[in-house]
This record gives sequence, C-alpha cells and structure tokens, in this order.
Amino acid sequence: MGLSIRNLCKTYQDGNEAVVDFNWEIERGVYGLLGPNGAGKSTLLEILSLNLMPTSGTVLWEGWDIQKRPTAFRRVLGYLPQAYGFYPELTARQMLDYLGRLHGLGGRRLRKRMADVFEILNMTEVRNRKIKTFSGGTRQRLAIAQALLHEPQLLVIDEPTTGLDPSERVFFRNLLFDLGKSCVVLLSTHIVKDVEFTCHEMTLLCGGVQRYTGHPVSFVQRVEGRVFEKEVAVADFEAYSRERCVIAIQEKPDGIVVRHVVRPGERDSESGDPVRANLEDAYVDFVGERQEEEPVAAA
Amino acid sequence: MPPLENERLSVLSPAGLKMRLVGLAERRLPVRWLDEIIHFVVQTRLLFSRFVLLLLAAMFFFFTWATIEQQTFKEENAFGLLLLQTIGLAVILHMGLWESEREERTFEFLVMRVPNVHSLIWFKLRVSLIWTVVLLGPFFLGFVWFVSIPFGHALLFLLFCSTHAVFFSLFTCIVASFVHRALPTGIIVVIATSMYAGFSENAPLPYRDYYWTFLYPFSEAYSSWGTFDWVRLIVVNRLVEVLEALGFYAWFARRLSKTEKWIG
Repeated sequence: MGLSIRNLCKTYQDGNEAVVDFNWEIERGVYGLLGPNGAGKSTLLEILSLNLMPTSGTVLWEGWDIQKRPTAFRRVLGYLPQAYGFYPELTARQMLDYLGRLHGLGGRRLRKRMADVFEILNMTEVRNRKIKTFSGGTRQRLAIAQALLHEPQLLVIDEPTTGLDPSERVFFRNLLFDLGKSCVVLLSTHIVKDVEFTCHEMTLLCGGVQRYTGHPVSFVQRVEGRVFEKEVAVADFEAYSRERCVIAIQEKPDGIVVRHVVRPGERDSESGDPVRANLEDAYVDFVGERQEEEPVAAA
Repeated sequence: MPPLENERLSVLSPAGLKMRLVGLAERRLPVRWLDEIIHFVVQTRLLFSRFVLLLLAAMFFFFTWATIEQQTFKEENAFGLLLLQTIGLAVILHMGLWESEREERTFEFLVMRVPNVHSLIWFKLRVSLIWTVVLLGPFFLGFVWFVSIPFGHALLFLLFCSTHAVFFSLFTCIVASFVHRALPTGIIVVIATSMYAGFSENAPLPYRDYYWTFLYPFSEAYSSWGTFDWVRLIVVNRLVEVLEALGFYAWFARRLSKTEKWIG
C-alpha cells in the first residue's frame, strides 16, 4: 500500500505554475502537506483525486498509474476537498446513501458501512437530521464520513480543521491518527499543529516548490537553540518586533512577551531566554525568511 | 405536528404513518428494490425545490386557464398546448438540476465516485425524465378525454411529446452547464426556443418538415396521412430529433468531463 508521486508539475492556462517538479513516496500512516495559502497544496490534492490533470509527471498507486486506471483508483480513494457542499435539504443518512450508491455500494453492505461511519464519527444521534441544521463541526464530520464510506486505502484530506473549535480540532487529529494505522492518510493544511500532532512525515510546499521533506522533528531541529522569549515594555514592543522574526506575542500585566527566532549566530543580549522550539517556530522561520533557498532534504 | 400521547393514535399522524410505511417497506421489499425506491425519493426531494413547485403550480394553472379560455376543442390546438407543456416541464425540472453541484460545490463529491460522467448523468437524469413524463400525464389524459383525440393520434402525440421531453431536457442541461443559476438558465432556454421556433416557422428552409422540431404530425398538407410519404416524414422527423438529442448528450458529457472548469 503506497503512493508514489514523481516529477509532478501543474501549470495553469494563465501560466501560473501551481506545482513544480513534486516528488514524494508515501506508505501507510499520516503524511502532512504543509504550506502557506496559495502554495499549491489544493492543486496537488486535486490532481491526486483525479479532478485535475497534471501538466507532466506521474502518480503511481501500488505501482500503477492512476491516470491510466481512474476507475480502479477511485475505488481506493477517499477524498475530502477544501471547499465542498452537501444538499442542505437531505438528512445525513440520505446524503451518505446517495453518495454510496454513486460509488456502486448498495444493499446491506451500504447500510452496514453507514452505521459504522456514523458510529466512528459520533453522528448516530444526528443521522436523521437535515444537513442545513448542522454546525460547522458536524458538517465536517459528515464530510469525513463520506470519504470513509467505501473503506478507502488512501485518504486525501484538504484542510479538515480550518474553522473548527479546539475540541473538534482535537477530535479530528485523534481520528486521523487512528485512520493512519490502517491506511495512507495525506493531510493538507496550513495549521502547523495538525501536522505536529498527527504526521510522521511532512513536506513543505512554498510557491509550488517542495522545500522540505522529512520528519517534523528533524524540521524543528533546524531552529533548535534559536528560539527565544523576551518580555518587553509596551512602548518598546514595536521597535523590538520590527527587527525580529516574531512567532507569537502574549500580553502580560507588565508588558508583552515576544517569542521570536533569530538567524544562526545572530543571538545578542536583547534576544531573551532560550525556549524549546516547536514546529510552528520552524515553519514561520522557514516560510518567512528562507523562501528563496534551494529545496532541502531531511537531516 | 407534536407526537400524540396515545400510542395507538400516533400511527395516524404523518410522522407515524411515514414510520410505519418505511418499516413495512424495509421488512417486505427486497433490498435492491428498496435501494431504488430510496434513490427515487431522494432524487425527487432534490428535484422539487419550493421554487420548482411554485413554477409547476403556476404552469398548470396557466395551461388549464388557457385551455378553458381558448376553448381548445381542436386536435391541432391541443397538440400545440401539449408541446408547450412538454417544453415547460422539461425546462422547469432541469434548469436547476446542476445548480447545487456548481454553486454549492457538490460536484467534487459526485464526480470522484463515478467511473465516468455517463454514470453521473444517468444517475441524476433518469428520475427527472420520469417526472417530466409523469407530470405530462394529467394534461395528456385530459386532452384525450375532452378533445376526444383518436387513440392512434394520441399515441403519436405521446411519441412526439416524449422525444421533445428528452430533447429539451438535454438542451436545458447544456445551457445549465454554461450558466450556473437555475432561473437565468430557464430564461435563456425559453428565449432560444422561441427564437428558433419563430425563425424556422417563417424562413423558407428546404425540406423543413423533415427536421423541424415543432412539426404537427396531422397537418392538412398531408391529407392522405397514413401513406408512405407521411410515414417517412414522421420517422425521419423523429429520428432527426433523437439524433439531435444524442448530440446534446455528447456535448453535455464533454462539458461535464472538463472537471477543471466545474470545480473552478
């Protein structure tokens, strides 16, 4: 069970190069596709879901080209697009029944699968409610449910936690982690914590170019020892932050605590106290300062 | 309606009756049949939005009024009205068939599940076509009864109306693939159809009757109807419309297969 993406390029008709020479080999587990808005993540996922044709390159699933056997690939693919819609007048059960039948499922197997996915996603209670009455989190659960309905071996998920409250986000992270034990999960997001907590490998995409591929921990090590926190007075904050790569700020009664990353060898007396780096520090440092660098591989 | 306290009486409430019927169907019907019925019910639910129901009600009211007002007792007039109703039904039932897919982005969910676009078209279109023919029934039977159309003529009218239904349904789908919204789609189809009808009726086109969409099968010009010439005219005319409908289908399938444009 594995997906192999080789020399994949996508150039739109207006000349915009959305994906440039993308390569990745992934097997069972959760894989993160990280990048800022407009980095080409959704384009890549649309190609993987056969909704877009690549300009060049190939995508292989278990050794065979997905473009040459689209029907076979659709049987193993579960896809949750970034922007999607349901029929608001239908109930969750009717919607899954409708999509399941389109997939060729039917009879007792479809009913069993519907009961299973409603159970997995804690939706049994709301399955007979109309979709238009659902909250954002419940709609997202239904979207995941439709992706899992036909027991896919490859799950491609585009920004599943955007706009969700913290408890729903934790639920989805745990769910993805569990799903990664039995299938290949490709998670695209710009929320760094989703990758940090669920993925055992990530790739960073900036401007369509693959900038880093490897374990999130290895990526964090790039900024280890360069992340600092310093409490500054409110009056000094603007001048202080202007000269630094600020990751986060936190207001305190006596001032503002600024978390920032310094360039290698640029630590000074004003840097503050060193703190343990996390993926967000590494990501902001990388995307903010080093977009023009050549692609790098994992350490 | 709140649930009735008395359990025996609660089965008489709409919700209770629905539950009994669903339970009965689940116990008695084969799973395959049940699947088909569920699909039909769900697709019907998607088809008949309030807007569509309102338009249908207005259309039925208008044609009933027009029939009474014009005292349509002639076969030729009855056929004209049936033709208009067929076009009206096809346009109303199909102008919003793909709106949700485009506007609310349901299309990606659908297209990623089917082996090809033909499955998707058939999946959605079969229920709407059934309803087009079913809804034509009351008018058709009404005319047959009140105008006393001979059975043979009635059958030929039904053939013409059925092929018109397919033709205009697919034409509406084509327009809908360019125009996102249902109402503009309907308006464009009606305007285009009126323009084509007006032009083709007045323009001196050669062999027009062989390919004219709005041909009346029992014109006085064919006084010896039932002859070889008449049969040839009817067969060729219907064949041309079926071929045109197939052309529309191929065009629509081609439009749908360009997923990039649909998902933006």
